[in-house]
Amino acid sequence: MNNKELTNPEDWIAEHGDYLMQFAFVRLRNRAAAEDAVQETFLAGIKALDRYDGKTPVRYWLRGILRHKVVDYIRKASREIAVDETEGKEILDSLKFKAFGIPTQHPPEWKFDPEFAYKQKEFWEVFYGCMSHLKDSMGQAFTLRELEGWSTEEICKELKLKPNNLWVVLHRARTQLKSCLEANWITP
Amino acid sequence: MIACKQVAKALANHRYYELPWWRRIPMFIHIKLCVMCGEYHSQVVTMQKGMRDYLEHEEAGDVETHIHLSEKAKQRIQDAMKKES
Ligand SMILES: [Zn+2]
Repeated sequence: MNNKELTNPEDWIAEHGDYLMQFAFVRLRNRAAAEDAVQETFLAGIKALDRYDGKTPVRYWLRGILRHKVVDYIRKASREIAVDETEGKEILDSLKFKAFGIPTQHPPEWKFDPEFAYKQKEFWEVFYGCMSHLKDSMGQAFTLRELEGWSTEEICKELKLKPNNLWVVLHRARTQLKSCLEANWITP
Repeated sequence: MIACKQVAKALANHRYYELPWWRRIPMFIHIKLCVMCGEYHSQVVTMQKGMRDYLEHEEAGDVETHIHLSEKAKQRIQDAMKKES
């Protein structure tokens, strides 16, 4: 039997509900929106079951549907992201880039060893929590770039962002993520 | 030599392959030579490695989180599914 014959929509909530919820929540950072996306996914799955070929496990097939629902939600929820003209300048100043390429100070180093942390199972729980706490004004662009692999052009079009400002938003997100990890991850 | 500021913007954007080769090559030479940009680059790359590793754990479904479907949501979804099938 293939995956299709083995699956029964009545078991989906118990078998895949939490997995899909976690997938949606880290991308939307909103419980109600994530639950709605999961619900819509299951309903769409029932309708599309005839077209499912059973080659991929049903979990990943459902996740494929959910991915579209998530992006739809981000698209609808996106407000124009405000990037103050001075913010880019401030970031560059904070990195202490000097004219003529002579640096006087380095970017702040990691307060823990990331390579070591990445190997710890518990680290990913902290990572998940920090990803879920990004603010919308940076989380949407960061999610589309880093979790969904979108191009600059696609992101700026969907989020109504000037291509010239995307780097500021991504820098913002990385900085917040880094300080959240540093505040919450305790090296065992 | 191109300016650190241009390099930093490109690094933060993290899509080197979207740049044409004649901008990419001087950028990577700059990163090799400039301590400052070299470190910024390595931070972005380290973060990127974390994102990739996270996606692998997500794929495997072994990230433990406190996020679950609430009982209320489960019930609501179940009711909606019954209507649908
Ligand atoms: Zn430099």
